[in-house]
Amino acid sequence: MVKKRTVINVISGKGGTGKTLFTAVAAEMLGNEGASVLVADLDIFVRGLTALLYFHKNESLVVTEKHEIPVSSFFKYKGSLPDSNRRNSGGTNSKRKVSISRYRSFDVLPSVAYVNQLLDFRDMMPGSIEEAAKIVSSLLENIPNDYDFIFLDSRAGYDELISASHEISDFSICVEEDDDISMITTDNLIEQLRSDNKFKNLFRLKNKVRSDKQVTGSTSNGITFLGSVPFDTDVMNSFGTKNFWMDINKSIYYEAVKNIWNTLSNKMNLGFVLQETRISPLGSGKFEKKLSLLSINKRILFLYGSFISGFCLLYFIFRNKFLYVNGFNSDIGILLVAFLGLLMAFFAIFLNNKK
Amino acid sequence: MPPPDMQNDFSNELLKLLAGSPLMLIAAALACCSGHLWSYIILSYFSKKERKILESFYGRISLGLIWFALLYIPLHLLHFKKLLFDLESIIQILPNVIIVSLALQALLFIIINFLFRKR
Repeated sequence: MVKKRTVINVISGKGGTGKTLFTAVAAEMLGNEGASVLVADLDIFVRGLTALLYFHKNESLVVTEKHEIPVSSFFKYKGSLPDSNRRNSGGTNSKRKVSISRYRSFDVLPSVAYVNQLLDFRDMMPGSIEEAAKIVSSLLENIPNDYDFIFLDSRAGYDELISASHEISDFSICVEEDDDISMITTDNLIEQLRSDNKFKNLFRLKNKVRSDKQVTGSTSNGITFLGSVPFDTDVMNSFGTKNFWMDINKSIYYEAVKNIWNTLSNKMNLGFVLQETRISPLGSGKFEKKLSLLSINKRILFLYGSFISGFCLLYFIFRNKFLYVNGFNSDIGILLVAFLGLLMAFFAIFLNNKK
Repeated sequence: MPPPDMQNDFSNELLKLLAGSPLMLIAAALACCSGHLWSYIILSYFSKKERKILESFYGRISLGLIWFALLYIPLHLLHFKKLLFDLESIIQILPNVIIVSLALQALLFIIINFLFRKR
């Protein structure tokens, strides 16, 4: 029995909204909880997801096997898989298969065969929505059926490919930032898609949000918001480093993506809800969001420093005898420790982050 | 499981203890915070197996009290030179214990974080 798979198209009105990162993190979360996930990198020129494979494979420029083809080859051959040089048991040349590589808990279909591959734009891009639909359909047909979810990480903006991938997927998620320019570009994209595919499900989510304003369930331009992802310094500092996945698992970004996915899962009856919760070191996610400009380690140091200095100052004011085991002067001792606590808290706030 | 009347007696004694000294109340609150931070460290860097226990209120306060107790014993020995505990001696050096435990916990957090990022 063929497993029903859900194809999710991730788009944005402009570049830099955090669409690729959102896709990768959502895929990782789903993979960690047992879902079978594939992310296809349709952004053949920017290649954000393919770059992840590059680092994962110890900076090997070649990310595909010889007889396997990446997404760009589907564009080049207009949806028809070229023959490989291999012969099958019948003596004829076998078709090449799509290149799928494991990355952490999910699979990636890279955009190119090697990370620094030069492509000719004129060869690559489809000339019409119909041609683009044929290419994307062919791509999906050649992906094995045993995936629960397939994410299409599309390029920014609107073109025939975006329209076709929106048409073919089960629904699209439009990622935008929390500023007017991003909203306008998103509205433009939505209007364009609506004029092409009036009845397809489309959702929005806000990324890099610095305010407390909740958007889950609200609508803009008739499209429902799945939620908002707060601006998180840990993501900014850690992105591209080897500690990225260790840091992001503890971040408020991770928690927000989980909530967005669960909202989506409920709305679209996907039947897969993420369970793992994140423990906030400050005890309150709301309070932590107010300190989102600090990395998580600094938030914790700020907390320790505040406790130590607060306790010492309170004790200095309301004290009984404060006995030091080494016999230091108690007043100076208390104030010194309070000062050190304050220093720790200020250190956490004012020290510059270094990559 | 102790009988309900014993549980009530224990709860009443505990409440009397906490209400009798503001310092004990503050210590209990800080034990909860310390335990919360320890559970964060354990769940983030080590194991997620006992998640339910560590994330519960009683789990956190227990962790915090265990941590305070671990540091209380050597400080008590250092100051009083004997292993005889009573309420008065506990209250006497409780501020020391709180300060040292919070500071040491901060230091350990920095070390653990550094070690995990380096490996």
